[in-house]
Amino acid sequence: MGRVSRDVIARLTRWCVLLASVIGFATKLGADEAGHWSFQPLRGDAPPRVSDATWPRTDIDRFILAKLEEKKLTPARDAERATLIRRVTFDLIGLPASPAEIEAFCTDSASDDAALAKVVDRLLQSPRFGERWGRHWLDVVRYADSVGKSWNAPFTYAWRYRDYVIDSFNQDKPFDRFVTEQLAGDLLPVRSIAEEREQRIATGFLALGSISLQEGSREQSIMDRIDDQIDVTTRAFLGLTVNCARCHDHKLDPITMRDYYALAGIFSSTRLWTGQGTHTREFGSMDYVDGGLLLRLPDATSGNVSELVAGVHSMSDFQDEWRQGRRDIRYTTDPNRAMGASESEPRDCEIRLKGKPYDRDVAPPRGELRIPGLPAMRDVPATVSGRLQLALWITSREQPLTARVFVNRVWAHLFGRGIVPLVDEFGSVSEEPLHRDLLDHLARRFVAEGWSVKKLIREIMLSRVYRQSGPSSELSCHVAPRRLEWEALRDSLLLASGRLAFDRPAGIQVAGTGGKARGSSTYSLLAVNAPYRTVYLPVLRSLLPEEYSTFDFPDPHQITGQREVTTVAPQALFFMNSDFVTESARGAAARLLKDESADSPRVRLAYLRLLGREPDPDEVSDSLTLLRDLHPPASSRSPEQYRWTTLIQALMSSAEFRYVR
Amino acid sequence: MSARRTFLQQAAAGFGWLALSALAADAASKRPHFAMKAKRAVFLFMEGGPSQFDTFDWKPELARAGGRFLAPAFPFKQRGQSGLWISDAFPQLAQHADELCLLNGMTTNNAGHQQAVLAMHTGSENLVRPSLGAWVVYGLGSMADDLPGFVTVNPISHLGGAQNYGSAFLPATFQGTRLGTGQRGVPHIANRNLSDEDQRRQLDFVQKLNRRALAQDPNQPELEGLIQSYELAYQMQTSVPETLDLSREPARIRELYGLDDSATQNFGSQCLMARRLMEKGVRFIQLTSTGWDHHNNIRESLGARAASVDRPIAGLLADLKQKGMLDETLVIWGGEFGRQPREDNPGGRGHANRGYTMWLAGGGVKRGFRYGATDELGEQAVEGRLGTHDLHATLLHLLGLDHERLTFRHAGRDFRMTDVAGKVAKEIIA
Repeated sequence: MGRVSRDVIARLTRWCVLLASVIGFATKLGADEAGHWSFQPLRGDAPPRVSDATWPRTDIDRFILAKLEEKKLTPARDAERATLIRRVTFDLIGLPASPAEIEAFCTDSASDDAALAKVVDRLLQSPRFGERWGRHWLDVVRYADSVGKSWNAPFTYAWRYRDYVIDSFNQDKPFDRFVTEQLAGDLLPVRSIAEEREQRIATGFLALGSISLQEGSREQSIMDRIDDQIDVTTRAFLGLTVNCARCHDHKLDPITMRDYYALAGIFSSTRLWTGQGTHTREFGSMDYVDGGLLLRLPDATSGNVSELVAGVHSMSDFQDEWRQGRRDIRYTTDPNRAMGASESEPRDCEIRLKGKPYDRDVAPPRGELRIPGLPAMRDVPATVSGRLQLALWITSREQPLTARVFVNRVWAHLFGRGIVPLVDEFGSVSEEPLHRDLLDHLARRFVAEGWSVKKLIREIMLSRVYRQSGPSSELSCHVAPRRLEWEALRDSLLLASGRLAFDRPAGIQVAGTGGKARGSSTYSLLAVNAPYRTVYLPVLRSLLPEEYSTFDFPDPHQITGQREVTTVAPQALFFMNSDFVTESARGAAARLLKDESADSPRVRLAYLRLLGREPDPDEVSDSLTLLRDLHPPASSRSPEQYRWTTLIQALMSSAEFRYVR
Repeated sequence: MSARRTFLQQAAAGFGWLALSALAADAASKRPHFAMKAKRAVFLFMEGGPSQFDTFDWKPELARAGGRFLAPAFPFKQRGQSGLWISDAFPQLAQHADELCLLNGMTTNNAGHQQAVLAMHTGSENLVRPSLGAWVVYGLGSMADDLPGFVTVNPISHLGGAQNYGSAFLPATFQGTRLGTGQRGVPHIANRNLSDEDQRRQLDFVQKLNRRALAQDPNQPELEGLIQSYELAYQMQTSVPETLDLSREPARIRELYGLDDSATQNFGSQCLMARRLMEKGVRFIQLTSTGWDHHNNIRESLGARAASVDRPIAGLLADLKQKGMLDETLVIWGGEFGRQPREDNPGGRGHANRGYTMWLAGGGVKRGFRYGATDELGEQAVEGRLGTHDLHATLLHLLGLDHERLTFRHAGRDFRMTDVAGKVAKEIIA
């Protein structure tokens, strides 16, 4: 520690010393021999004793209650069952509970604990679970169906990786396995063709980066791609931002350029298959979407690697039609192609001075990470890239970050804020959290339970802490009222209208070529009103429909562990005026008119379906008043439909519909 | 409206800090740090990096240099009383030379489009930081009650996209609202199904439901913000189309901005929209002209882009002046960087970040003034150098904000737009 500390401190710029003194980092590096808290081994403290033995249900509760009791505070009351089931259902599957499910839970004569466990277990088994939690992961790995930047050509096969993520969460694939497959699935032993296909698809993780296809310098382009892989690997799994060490030793964390280029060597020995080439002047403009640059999967039945099926896979396949002005050309889906990674010629990567691609220095042995406080990585054999060794290092039991970062991500999704509030930042800027013991407890349990994501979620959800209602604080960890994400909102609207389909769109759903030719823009074949769950609509960088950014869908160029939550007038306008909401309200009204015949029961059912609760008597009378006061235009074919559509749209526009508490 | 006021009064006790600050920003202007020279700003962003050598940085040596150097594509002339050198690429704007303050010594850290665009808008090439407009509205509040305080017209969706008008860690109310040209401007601005009376009935019903939700979670600033957002949205349905309806302008004004010519109609509409938004009290407006990345054939490519904005910008300056608004409006013109003196592709120039030109006009800047200079051949700025942080410090200063005191606490530290740098160019202040 001593040598590196001096080394690092010596290189701190004046600015950094100033900042470091502010955040007390100098102390951490110099004096505190234990190192930064997040690098220390997971603590194994037994849950603390608490005076109120009746409140806690789980160890999680004991950790929180002990802190509350220290401050002479008491936990908040439990949320009512109707509130709770709405919360649990949105949290697990991203959709509202149905009136029948609410009814069953509210009238279940079992104890609160047993009744809740039944609901949680049912939802964990739902195929909708992976669609919700897979999407959380897709935020973290910058998932997109186009490359972005200035050229923005489509990724024709990104969706295979997306489906792999969803399926992995549904299968409750152990998280360490999930990590390893994404980094090195092609290097793992296989027991079946299906498994081989799945593991190869997993490496799509590495290939999804946003890079400029029109990079003038080849070396720059190579280093940018490597940088993207280092960035996503270290941030998604370890919560560390390493890529500032591309140009200089990290100003705050003990990560040197040597470490960075030791990682770079792993990825410079890896070949990516994106289905895209770099646009170059020599080749002209018809070469950068290229089916020949896709990963080949063994055929599901024969196990053979086959040629592309006949059809359109590359821009050169439709050059003539393009010249004749045809622009609606669709790519052909090949059952045996994907995005992903494979081994390339193993070679270490030279340090690039100040990050300049042509200013080379020595090449550190790939994989030779010397991050003080973290375990050392195994030596990388001369014949391999080292991705598998990297994956084993990330998922080793001595590596405390991976489990901490992931359980914190899960906590943040369920409570609205992480135990460590900046979920992507576990480096030295992260202060030791108030509930460090709880975090470490969860991380230990997570590893001990075989890295089971479902068990982790189940344990948290069955805690008393999760059941509380009321405003959240760092101390009490209540569930904070949260605005639903764009996906949950859109899916709920579709569900209410009766239009939501639960199947996956088949095959490639993107078209166009990107680039700068007239009319060449990449586009999605699924419009925003397509009946599929939102997770299945293509995510085109820089080309997302307006509603996505209005509701804070993350910029898919970026790694985003926690989304912004804004409340702006354009959201209100979406609910008041958009065709999407109007159509959804119309569909929901039609269902209502069919399912109930009298006004008051209709109002009741509308509240149950949309807000997950019974209306109180005032609300019934307000609703009936609104229905009566409206003036359907003379041209209206069905005044009754007009009135009910308007009422339903109002319920959809309400804060209650948009928030989960 | 009155129902909203009453409600706000009733609910005042339960307001969280976010709603309070949002309210302060919405309803009343905040106080600047010192007397402001300009009370609003309009940024005319030329995406791509316009060439200074063919517009506002006269380099006689470059015309003679030959070899790999590319001579200016347009003749330069001294203009107005001030004698500022401006090329024939901007004949109309040149007539307002005596209003301009040329910044010939601009620099930025990076010559990549994305990095430089983000730096120009947010001060940072790679970190997610609030944009200039968001900082300004955070610092000064809005003067409009039925429009957002920060509006960006036809923004680019790439090169950082929404980050360039985002609020990052500042409260969401300060983020820029996108407007498109054309009467609707904002998506979903009009309701096609309900009469205004029925929509108001529907909205009253929604707001009653919302207040019920707020009563259950009284300390929820987001719910308070949501209730306000519905009232603002309701008003925007009228105010936005009204403000954007350029047909309400007399023919001579529309011509002044070049709305009668297909070449200038797009940017002319943006400029005229900007003036109408300013009159309504919008604090910070950004307009965007794309396509200034001229690696080839500057004479034609830059010539056409310049022609598309020349009359609109000249019209905007003239119109602001005749309405007595120019003195209190800071007009900012420029791209993310400039171009090289050397030839790139035939007749074109590559990116240059070590010396380029922007200009300011109006609120508080010296008129007919030139600040900063590049070396003989224009390869880098040698005097009056203004880096990105210096530019932002200066712009904030002109708007009455001290860039070192305009801070926001986030993740345990006080952030400012200029990080730990930035020097105000006092020399350009009138």
